[in-house]
Amino acid sequence: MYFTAAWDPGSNQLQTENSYLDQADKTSRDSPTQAKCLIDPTNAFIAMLLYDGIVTIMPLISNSKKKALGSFDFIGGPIPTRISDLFIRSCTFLYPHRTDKDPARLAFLFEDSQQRVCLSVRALDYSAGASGESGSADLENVLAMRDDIELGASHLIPVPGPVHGILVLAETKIFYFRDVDDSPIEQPLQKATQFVAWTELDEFRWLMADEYGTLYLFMLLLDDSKVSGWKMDALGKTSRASVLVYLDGGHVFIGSHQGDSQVMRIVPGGLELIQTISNIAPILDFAIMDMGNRSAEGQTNEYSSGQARLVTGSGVFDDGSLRSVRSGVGLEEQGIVGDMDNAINIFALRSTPGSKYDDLLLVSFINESRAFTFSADGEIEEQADCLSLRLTESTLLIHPIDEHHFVQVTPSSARLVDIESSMMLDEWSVPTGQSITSASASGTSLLIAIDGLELGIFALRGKMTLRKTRQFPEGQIACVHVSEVAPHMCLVGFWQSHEIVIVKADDLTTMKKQRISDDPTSIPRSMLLKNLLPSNNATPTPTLLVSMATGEVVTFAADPETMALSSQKSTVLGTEQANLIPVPGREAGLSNVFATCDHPSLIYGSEGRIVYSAVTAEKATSVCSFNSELYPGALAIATPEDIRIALVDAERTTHVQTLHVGELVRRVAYSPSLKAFGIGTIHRRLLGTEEIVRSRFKLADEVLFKELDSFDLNEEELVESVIRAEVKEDEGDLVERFIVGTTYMDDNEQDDAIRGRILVFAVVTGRALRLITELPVKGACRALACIDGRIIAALIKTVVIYALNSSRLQKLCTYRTSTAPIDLAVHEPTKQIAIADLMKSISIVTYRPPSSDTPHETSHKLEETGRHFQTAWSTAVARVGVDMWLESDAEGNLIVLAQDPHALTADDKRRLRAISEIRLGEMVNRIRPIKVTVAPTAVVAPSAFMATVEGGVYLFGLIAPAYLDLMIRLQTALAPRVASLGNIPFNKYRAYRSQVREADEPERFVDGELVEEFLNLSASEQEQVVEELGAVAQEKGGLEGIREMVESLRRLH
Amino acid sequence: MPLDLFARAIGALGPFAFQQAETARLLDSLQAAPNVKHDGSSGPMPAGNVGGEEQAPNSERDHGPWAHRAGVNCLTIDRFEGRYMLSGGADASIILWDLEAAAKTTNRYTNKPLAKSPRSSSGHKFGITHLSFYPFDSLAFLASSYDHKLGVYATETLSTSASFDLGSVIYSHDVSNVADHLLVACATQHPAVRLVDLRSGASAHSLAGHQGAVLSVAWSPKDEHILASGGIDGTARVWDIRRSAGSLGLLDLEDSLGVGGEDGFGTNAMPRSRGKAHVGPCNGVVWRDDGRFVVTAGHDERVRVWDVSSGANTLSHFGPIIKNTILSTLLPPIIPSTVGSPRETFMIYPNEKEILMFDLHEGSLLKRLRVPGANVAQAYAGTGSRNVKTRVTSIAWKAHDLEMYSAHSDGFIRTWKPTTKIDTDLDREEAEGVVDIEDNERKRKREALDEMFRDLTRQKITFT
Repeated sequence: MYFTAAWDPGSNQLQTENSYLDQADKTSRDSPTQAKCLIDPTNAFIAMLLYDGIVTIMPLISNSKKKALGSFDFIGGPIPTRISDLFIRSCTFLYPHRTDKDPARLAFLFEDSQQRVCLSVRALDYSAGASGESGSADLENVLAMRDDIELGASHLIPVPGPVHGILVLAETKIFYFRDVDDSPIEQPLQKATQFVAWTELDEFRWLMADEYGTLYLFMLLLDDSKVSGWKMDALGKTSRASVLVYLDGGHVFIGSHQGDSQVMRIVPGGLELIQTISNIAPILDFAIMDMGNRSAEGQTNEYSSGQARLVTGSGVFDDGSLRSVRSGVGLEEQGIVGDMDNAINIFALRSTPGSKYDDLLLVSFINESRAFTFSADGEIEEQADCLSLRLTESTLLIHPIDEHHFVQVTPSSARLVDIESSMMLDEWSVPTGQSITSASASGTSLLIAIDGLELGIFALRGKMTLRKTRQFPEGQIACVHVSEVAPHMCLVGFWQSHEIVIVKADDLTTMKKQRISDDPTSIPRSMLLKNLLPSNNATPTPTLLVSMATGEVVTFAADPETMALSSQKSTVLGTEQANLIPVPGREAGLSNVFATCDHPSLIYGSEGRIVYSAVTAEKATSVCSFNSELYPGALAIATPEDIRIALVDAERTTHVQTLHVGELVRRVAYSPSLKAFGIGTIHRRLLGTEEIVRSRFKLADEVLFKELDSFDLNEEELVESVIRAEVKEDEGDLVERFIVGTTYMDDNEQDDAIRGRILVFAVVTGRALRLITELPVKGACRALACIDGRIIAALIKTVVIYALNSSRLQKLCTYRTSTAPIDLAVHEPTKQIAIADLMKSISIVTYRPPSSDTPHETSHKLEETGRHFQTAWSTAVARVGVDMWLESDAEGNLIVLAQDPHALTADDKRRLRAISEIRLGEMVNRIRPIKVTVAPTAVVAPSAFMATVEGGVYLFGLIAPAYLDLMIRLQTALAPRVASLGNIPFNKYRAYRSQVREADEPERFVDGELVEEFLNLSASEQEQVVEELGAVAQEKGGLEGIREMVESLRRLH
Repeated sequence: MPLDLFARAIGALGPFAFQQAETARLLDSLQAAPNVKHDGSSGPMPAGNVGGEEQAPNSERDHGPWAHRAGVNCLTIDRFEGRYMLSGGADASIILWDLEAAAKTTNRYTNKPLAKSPRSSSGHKFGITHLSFYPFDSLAFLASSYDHKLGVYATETLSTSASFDLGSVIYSHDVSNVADHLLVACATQHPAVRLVDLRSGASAHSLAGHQGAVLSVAWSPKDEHILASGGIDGTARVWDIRRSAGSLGLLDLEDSLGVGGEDGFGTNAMPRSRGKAHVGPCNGVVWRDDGRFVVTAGHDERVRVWDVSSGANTLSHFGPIIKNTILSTLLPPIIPSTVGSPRETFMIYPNEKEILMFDLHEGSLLKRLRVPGANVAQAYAGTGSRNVKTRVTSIAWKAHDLEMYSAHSDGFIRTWKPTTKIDTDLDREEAEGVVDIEDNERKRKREALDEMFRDLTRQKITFT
């Protein structure tokens, strides 16, 4: 299948030039080496190597007679040509010697049936067909051929004029052929290596990358325009390249599948990293760290995966890393003001009345405040004296009252300033020995707490009038708040109470008390009453947010008149108190709230509910809206080191934090109670020319993934699985253990040798690892799981249950599988274990421990209760519902298998049937089920995350039965309407496809991405779609209903 | 394999390359699975035919259950699920087997027929010569017989839905898996290849050219109009059924260059009209799954591989080991290219008393599987019995799995499965029935007793 695309600079979009054409040929044999596509240097042909023994030639046809070199109008139809060379390792077009009269020549590096490595050059004989007919092409004409190339040869590089020839890259040597028939010039490499990619710099120089991430500069040395030798220099280390593209000006793009892609500049003596394009492929394993609901109570927000945080093991060997992936709001940094250590608060002001933009930033430090002005052209200047601001101490609050006035509150005083005249209109100083601990202001009043004991309120009308002071029996005041939304009321929170008190603004008499939390230790630390949600009627319902010292944020819907609080919800944002700062919302009159804590979040209203979204401002201590002329709509963020000006992304996107490990992270297991990860890593290094691969099991802290302890596995031992499990030790209580399964690399099945190990680790005080026991096993231990406090191990051909007794693993029972088990999924309540088999799909076995009901049964049993009989090269399995299992296969398909317990015959009950299937197009490495409580009206219940080799993380959900028909119909209706790049038809692409069977369309499986495209259709198209759906759509509220439903789906991620 | 799995997980090894490596390993360990047996003597009978079967002498029971007492002539497995297998007996009986039943257990298993149509109800009078599933689903199948009839059956009930009398013995037939048409090509005693159109029910077409009986036919797996046939005259012909003349050419064993034509693809080339594929009858024609090669087997005890694009004999030579003497169709199945290394194409050759596995193009013998059992067995047909030389009559490769079933003239259907060292180890472990715990516990108790005994009987020596 191929299509061509062009970049349209006008719309900044890729545009499909030629629609896709399927070159798939079911009956032909796949090319045993990778599919290749080559373009002739004269731009006259494209050659594709897709199938064994067939080269597909596509002429690039130019309509105009006077064709400019390299231009063409369209791609001609594909012409298959046969060649007898099999197992082609590399193939390239050669540069024409003289004119374009010569036929194009292709060089092939291949292996013959005696496994000798051969080099052949064939001439492409192409004759254009008559108009409308495809021409004919053949490659029968072998110009030259030799079969004595070094065995490790892997790449061919054509050498352009004036030198001409071919370079052959091999593991220990590089050959240059002027002519294939001549004897080559050869020169050994300094160090044997495996080349993986190359790119041409000019006629004499190339860049080459090897398997170990080294980038080389290769230069031909000429002697009288004949090649006499060459020079090769290692430039430096990069990610392991999959492709190299020379960008000009010394820049090279290193496209990598196994690590981050990079743009490097070649500088004298090495490389300089210009840009890193992060890549989380391949994801070998991942753990779900939290689902954004760390609160102990079951009462959580409606699910939004924006809060879910995954930790993936990505990258290969040297490029291996742990990555924390979560979706959130990104901040695009616009500028940094450095040398601002430990700013604790930050405020913006306008120095000219009536100005639309903020231009003054006041940064408060522990014992001083500093003011900076920002001019429209980006000049930043510190002001020693400005607007009568008190800069000798820290600032608690700056609040603009109207266009002309603002208040500044410092620990010792509160002052009212007129902006135009820079005159202080009024000042109120605290009696000596006392200080203001907290302050809040609205347009009409200023509320302060003095020494945490006394509350005072000022009226602000051209001057400050102390209206009333009051003390509280509840104790010390922790925070105060007065809001523009309800200026007649003040909110007060206390250190010793988990209640907040609402007092009247005029006389500070207590109106009511509101209990925030049942936990007496959680005290309110920050309060905010703002309009977050738009309302349908004239009086909006403001939201009261209270952040607690425990990291929790409690929200209420407040009545602005009576301050009646309702619909209490709580969300845990982090582990420390969040500071709530209002920032302007997207709609006028509405606010968003920035919560600064260890997990900074943006809190905003979206479609009638409050959404918490992670923000990539990891170190923010304070934030304020800074709508300056240069950065309209920006935020100013204070961090422990500097002040940053940043713009908030309009949409939530995925954010990745990387921790470079330098070892391949094969397995990740997370222990929430230890707050640590158990990771199985594989380390590769070169010792001379020998690759040494060692595996380790490491314990890493959840914060910054700091390594706590490490355990080296034996030589030649590969870590296969790592789990965290609660194991019953000596039939006692459950204890937390890490269990590691390994295999030995040598693949000799004949001897009775030990093929793998199972190791059980305890984490002891000081978060160190202690090996409790190890058990050598005859088969590789591919997967581990835990049921009932027992360990399930998937060995070759068997699944065994072990009990951990007196520090030994004791075999309780076994189950024979058809080939090799590769993944396990356990459902504790039903004691079902799904076993994904290497090639025979999955089977379900039920674990039956001896029970008191059947005293005569004393042995443990594994009984097969279900099986899917088809051939599927499964890679992972997870339980997604009652008797429902999600399986992924190596060919990139997803299958949902279900068992029918109500079937008539026992045979039918055991049979697993595929009830849904789709082609994902990527091989899934791991499926992890998630538990989410959803509202009963939810359309989709998220039930698993999947991670793929290509670096994709997918969310799998079950559609509520009431919506199933609608969703499938919607997908069918949308499929022809949504255009894809290359115009690939949706149904065909997403249809199940394996070597065994090909379907026409996805079966009972809905692609959420496609359904969401509904919102991007034009209104008339949407109407058409709804019309097409007919009665099903009308039931759910017609066009509006569908739109709402799709929007709710979009909120899932 | 651990490294392969790992390479697949990081994307360095494609899923297909992984499959090939893994299947190559399994293929290498293909062995007889004597635990899985097929017992055709019992099982469900179609209504109204109870007791249509005679009991076998008990003495023969020792050798294991029979599938078809008179000998099994042919086997076929459905290509969709790989679940159903049909076997046709020399006594005109047809049995449908559920292979999944046997897959449920790794232990000893005797498969019972899912459905059985004994001679009296099968619609055929004489032995079944060839069975094949309907190309588009497994709910119908075709059977041809020595009684001149080609029958279309419903798989579930094994009842005949249509029957065509071709007036001569049908040795084999074939339906195309890729075609839009539903033409059944029949190799009969009549010298023309007969095409029966299942849509119209008419014998649509016949392709004249062979002299004497046609023994084997096969449709191209790639081109719906191309057909290859082998005859008793030793010729193998390639046909294009759209052409009026039909024959595209003959395959000539003397020709190792082929007809190139103008462009090497046979365009405007003169078709070859003379030559023989085998010295002696050619009784087996099989295509490689990409349609580029045809394999023929002949009574000159040779198997030849032909490049279809040029008609050239590729000169693969399988050595003197090949035996082929019986006139009935002998089809050496070619294992699909998805199995095993892409460098090799495997051919399984039923060589009378053994099954041989060859590399199709190199001709090297990769595996020699001996069929257990006596050389001469008694086959029971009707009331009497006769002595027959045991011989592999047909081999069915189970699609997508690495399993093979062979039909034998002594009435058995044998199963062949990959069996690795680990399998045999586990089998032995299971057979011993010793669970580690018991063993260990016993050992500990014995040691404790021993110690007590020692303490009691011997004087404790203590050093001070």
